[in-house]
Amino acid sequence: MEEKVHTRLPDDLPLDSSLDVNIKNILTMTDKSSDVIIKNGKVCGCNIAVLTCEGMAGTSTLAELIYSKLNHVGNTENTPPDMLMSRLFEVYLVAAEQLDIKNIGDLILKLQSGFAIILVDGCRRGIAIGVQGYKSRGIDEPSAELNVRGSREGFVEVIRTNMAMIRRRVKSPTLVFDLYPIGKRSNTDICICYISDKVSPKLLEDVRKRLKNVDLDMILESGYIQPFLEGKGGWFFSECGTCERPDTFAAKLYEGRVGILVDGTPFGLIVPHLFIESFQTLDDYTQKPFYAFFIRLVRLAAYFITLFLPGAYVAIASFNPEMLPSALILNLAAAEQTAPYSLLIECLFIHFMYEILREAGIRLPRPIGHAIGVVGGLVIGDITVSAGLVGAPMVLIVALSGLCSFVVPTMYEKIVILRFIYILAGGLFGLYGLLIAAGAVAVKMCSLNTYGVPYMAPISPFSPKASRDMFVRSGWRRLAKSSVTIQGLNGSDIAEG
Amino acid sequence: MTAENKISPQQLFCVLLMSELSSEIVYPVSSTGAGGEGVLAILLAELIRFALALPVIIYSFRGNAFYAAAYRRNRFFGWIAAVFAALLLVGAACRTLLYSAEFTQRTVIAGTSAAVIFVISAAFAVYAAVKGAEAMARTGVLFLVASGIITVAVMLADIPYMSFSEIRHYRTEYDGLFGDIVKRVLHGGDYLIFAALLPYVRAEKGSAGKTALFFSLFSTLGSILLFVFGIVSLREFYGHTEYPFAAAASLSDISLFKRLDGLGCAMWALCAALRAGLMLFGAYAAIKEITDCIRVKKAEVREAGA
Repeated sequence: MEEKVHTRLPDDLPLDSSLDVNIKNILTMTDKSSDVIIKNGKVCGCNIAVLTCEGMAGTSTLAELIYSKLNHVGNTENTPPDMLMSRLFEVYLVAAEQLDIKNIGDLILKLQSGFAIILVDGCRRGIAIGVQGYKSRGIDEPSAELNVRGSREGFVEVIRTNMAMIRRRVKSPTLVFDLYPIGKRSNTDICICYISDKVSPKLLEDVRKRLKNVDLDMILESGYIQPFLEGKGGWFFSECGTCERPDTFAAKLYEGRVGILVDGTPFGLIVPHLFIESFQTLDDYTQKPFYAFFIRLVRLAAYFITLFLPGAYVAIASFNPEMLPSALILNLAAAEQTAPYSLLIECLFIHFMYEILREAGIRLPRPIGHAIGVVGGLVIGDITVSAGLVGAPMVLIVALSGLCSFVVPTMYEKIVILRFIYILAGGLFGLYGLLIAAGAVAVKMCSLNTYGVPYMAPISPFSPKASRDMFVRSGWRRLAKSSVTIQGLNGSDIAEG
Repeated sequence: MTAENKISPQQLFCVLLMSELSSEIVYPVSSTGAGGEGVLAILLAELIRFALALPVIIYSFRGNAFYAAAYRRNRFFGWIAAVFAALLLVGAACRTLLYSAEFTQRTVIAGTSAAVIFVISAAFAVYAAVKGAEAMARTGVLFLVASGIITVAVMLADIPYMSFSEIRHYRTEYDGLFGDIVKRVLHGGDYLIFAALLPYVRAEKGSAGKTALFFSLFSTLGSILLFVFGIVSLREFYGHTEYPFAAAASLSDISLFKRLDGLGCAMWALCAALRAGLMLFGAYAAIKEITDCIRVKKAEVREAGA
């Protein structure tokens, strides 16, 4: 075989009957990588080689499943290579995951995925045995999706563990996993998950088509393929949701969505993603319906406060102060009297400062990060007010809008940008400017169809059946009767299939 | 049903109602007095508009593309009808934007030039029109709900100032009636929007027609409600204001916000901008309907020739 740098695994290069040629080809393909371990031996008169990738295969599993069994194979009689291979495959080495390998590309992919490969001299096939035993992080509580009641398990970096966690929750033959590698160089395992009798075939086909178009060399995180799964509106509004919890993931699959797991990341992807999902958490379904309804209203209120409060404050105080009670106007006027800049500049400045402090708090090591919070919140806030740079109400506004933004964490990026836009619109053209800007965003959101489902469904277009789990969360008896799927929403274009 | 037919009859009803009520609020009423601006003018004007739109309404019980149907019956008539409707819609959109800019300047942002507000509203209208019927219909429903909530809040807050005995004393002055009817008829354009949006309605046979009937009924009731609200809140001052809703809303006094007129007027101005967007889209849709017919006809001729 020609010696060159191989960027892709060849899927058309068959195994040779000569063990030496095969070993040479493998070494050439892997550029004699140090982590490829080849152990030669002789069984029943045939030369054999056991290939593993260092650190990827578990040594104890390797010893137990392969070496101990090979040692027990009688070495006295001479067996033809093909017969030996068949015996190894069917009699001696019976493992849970045991594959027949016929070409070099498959062999290297399996080798680098943690399989042990057995080659026999004189035989044009090999055996791949699943002995993966790489070190990985244990199952832990998800960092971004905490809940009060329910499972403490979150996804981990190993895709197979994640698949098992979902399977444990949905022990149904209709739950289907479709695992295959993508990424020209990284050959990252991804897994399409769906419930076959719930998912729309049209949606599934669309997801497969988009994944086929992923033209990347390296895929190190689900965020790499996310843009390929999003439509035209994806540049600002996410048409693809992320999920860190197997229970939430399973629940979304049950609604007819398609999930995508990517090896190496604890964040699964879910499509299609709708606006309303940002206000729903797993806790809503374990708490009493009346409290779930209240909490959803709180989240919605927090969303509107964080988005509109600074802009509305600037707009009302600058253009329509008559909207406020007279006592409040006097207080505000007194507080703003010493501030040298207009409300618009003041608001933009303090929100910009807030974002800097927040970014610094995240990037710095945790103990210093907390200090930044104290320094930012207490010292800088207090000093800017006492120095007369900013009025005290403005500090309250930024604190309140900052606090509310954490109630809907999945929308944080959008909230920050839109908040600045609304402050500008409100500061320049008052309530009218604010509403025109919000209206334009509403038009944009309403124009989006994510995988044929309206992004704003079931709010607009309104679906009465789905409203049982919109802002109000009905009891489980009623929810069980409705069984709403994503294709059943009004305006959905993926029903027929 | 095609993929782009995504408006439900309910959404169509909501956008038409939003459009009609926004024009009712942002268009100035006669400053000569409360005379002709009465219930009679509203009813007669609606009757005339309904009669003018009757061919479209009758057709909407049977089919979903009015201008295409007119073209099939008589090519020249179809062309003329679509072009005339498109011109009327563009004119009505400009008129809505002009009145809306004036209204916004007078009631929400006094310090800003009406020309600037016109440009902003026009930009919004064009953006909404570009996004298409589906987006505007969905947004229209949200706007109608939001405006409705604010309007109801304003009305509830005005209860202490209302004097229902004013209705008894109110007399329609017939000398101004004709002018007001003409004005109200010219405010319209909603039935033209209805005709242009028909091909985008996902409906069973007859649903769109029912939508038109419901719209006619509810828009009349809405206009009467707004008129009565203005009269009972402003009483003798009704005739001295160009924007009765804004004036009546400025009386509202509820605990959280002292007054809701700014918010209410800004919301209805936004609805008016969306109305202009609907009209612009309607103009495009009417022309597109005819050009599609011509394209199909040409293709048929080419096939027959081949």
